[in-house]
Amino acid sequence: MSDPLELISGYLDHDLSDAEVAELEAWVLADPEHAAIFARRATVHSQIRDALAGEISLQLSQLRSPELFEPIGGANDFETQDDVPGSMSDAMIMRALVESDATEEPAPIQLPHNPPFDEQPVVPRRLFPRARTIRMVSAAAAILLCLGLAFWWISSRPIASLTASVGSVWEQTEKAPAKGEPLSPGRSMHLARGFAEFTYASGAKVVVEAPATIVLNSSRRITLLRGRLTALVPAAAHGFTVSTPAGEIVDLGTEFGVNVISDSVVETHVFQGRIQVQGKGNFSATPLILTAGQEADLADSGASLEPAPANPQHYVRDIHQVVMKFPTHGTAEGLNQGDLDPHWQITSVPTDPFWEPIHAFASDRLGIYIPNDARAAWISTEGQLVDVDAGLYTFKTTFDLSGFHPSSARLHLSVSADDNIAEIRLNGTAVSIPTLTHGQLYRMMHPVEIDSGFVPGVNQLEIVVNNATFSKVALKAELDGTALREVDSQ
Amino acid sequence: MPAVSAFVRARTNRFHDAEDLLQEVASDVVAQFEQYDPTRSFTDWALGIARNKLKLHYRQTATGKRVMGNLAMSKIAEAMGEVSEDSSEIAEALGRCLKTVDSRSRELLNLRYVNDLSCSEIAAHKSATTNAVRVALHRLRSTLHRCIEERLIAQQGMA
Repeated sequence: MSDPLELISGYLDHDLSDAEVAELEAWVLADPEHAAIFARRATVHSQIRDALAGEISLQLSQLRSPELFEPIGGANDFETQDDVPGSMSDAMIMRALVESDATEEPAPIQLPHNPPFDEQPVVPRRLFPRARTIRMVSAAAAILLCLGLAFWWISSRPIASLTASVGSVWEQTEKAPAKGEPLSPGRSMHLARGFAEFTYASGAKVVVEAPATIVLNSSRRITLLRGRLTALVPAAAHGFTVSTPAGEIVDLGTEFGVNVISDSVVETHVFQGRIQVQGKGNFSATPLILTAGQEADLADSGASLEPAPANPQHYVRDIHQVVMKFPTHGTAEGLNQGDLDPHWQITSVPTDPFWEPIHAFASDRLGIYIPNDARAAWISTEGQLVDVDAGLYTFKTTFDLSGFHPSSARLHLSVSADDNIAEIRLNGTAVSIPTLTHGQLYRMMHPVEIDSGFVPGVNQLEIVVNNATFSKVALKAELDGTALREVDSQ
Repeated sequence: MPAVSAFVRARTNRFHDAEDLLQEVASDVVAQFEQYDPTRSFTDWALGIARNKLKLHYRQTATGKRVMGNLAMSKIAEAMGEVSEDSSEIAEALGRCLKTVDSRSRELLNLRYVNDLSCSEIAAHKSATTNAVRVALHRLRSTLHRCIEERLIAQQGMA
């Protein structure tokens, strides 16, 4: 018989042969006291890790950012709650944490014993020193403390990082992740615009499409409260779970998409492999297993297979190397004066309600106008600038977004006009334009950014130029558009 | 509740993996909290979640290494519950005892517990045999346990 304590030590180091494990197992089963000895050794083993690794990471974080310590005060107080009157059960602490996380405010907690003499609900200060503190320590991070991880460092250990983004705009900018920044469990983020890719330490890759609200829970779980995401999960991260208000989607070796339309309407689509889908309404029911090409709807009533799966191309699965320029044409781009511009039309003029659209002409320009260049030149109603009626002249061009994701498109416009620009419309909807100084407009190019209102296929851009008096009308516009190229479904 | 982390760490090869699993256990506990039956033991419920995670983990990373069976683990889990009642005293005593170890022992502890190296990796690093590392770690743990017991007894004497 080997020394059992030596066997325990070897077991904790995962350094025993099969025969030794069997010997230890028999010893543990032989006497409850033996199991207790093992439990004590395992507890100390776990505590040595907490003590030493916690110490190191504490030193590191002090070097990095002292403000990280804000939540730690709360966390450590948690461990030394002996002077809190009465004692709270773990379950009570849990409930308090879950509720406080949901409301973002620390819920007053009634202690189980020694009720106070006055009627005020008691908030144990040492547990929840500040509202801000509890917001920073998410419920999941705090439960780690309940689970016996004496130090906060594990709960703050990064689980994922932002590895790519396209046109992303985050709400609550103080919470916005920076590229490459290690993100801790419990981090919640709201993506107002664009796309963001998170790579988990487990190897799972998630592409989130705005508008979306997500919480990174652990190295194998993400909560999607609203919006759309796709997840590519390698073998090492199987079991990766997307939590939604209407149920859970568990990866079984796959790539899939999830779209949370509302709290009770969620769609999920499998691109390859298999997933397991469980509606929140009936957790006890047998989960639905989906395979490639299948789609399920999750609702309060449970999960059901969608007989007519939507086009998987609605999901963006890769935002690397696929942001491309879509074809656009500046005014009189590459033309000589007097040429008809094949890409720009004049679709309305003042005083003629029956005007039929005509192609604009690459025109000459007045000396006070900004010069022509390779990207754009001045266009007008004639090849030679002539005085025309006062009023509004609409110049129109089109561009084709076929093969691109319209929601990811951005159009950078540089415009100059004589006299001034009354309005710019994308697909009939006015876009906001900066206030332009009247009369100076044609001396320089003015930037206009358009990042919404794009539609699939052909888009129309109209620039309405105002001619204040009977005088010359001309326009110069440069276009530069980018969008995510649709990824082929396989 | 420290039972859960001790339980997971005793069965997981790398601390790093154990802590990933613990994060997942924590987030599952939060996600499934609505299903918790308050008339049952919270620790047992959380341990149940931890055991399911471990099962899944072993299915995914079949290392071929043998681990103790369910019956032995449930006996240990039971005993863990009792140990956890003293866990804050044990942790405090451990903190003091760790200050008393010499620099060589401290280096060994750092390699194992901070750098998360296995005995054979430490052996390679220190040009020693795996068995020597295994024996050294065992002795060091026994020393720490004796130190902790003495402190706990002394503390009880004072109280």
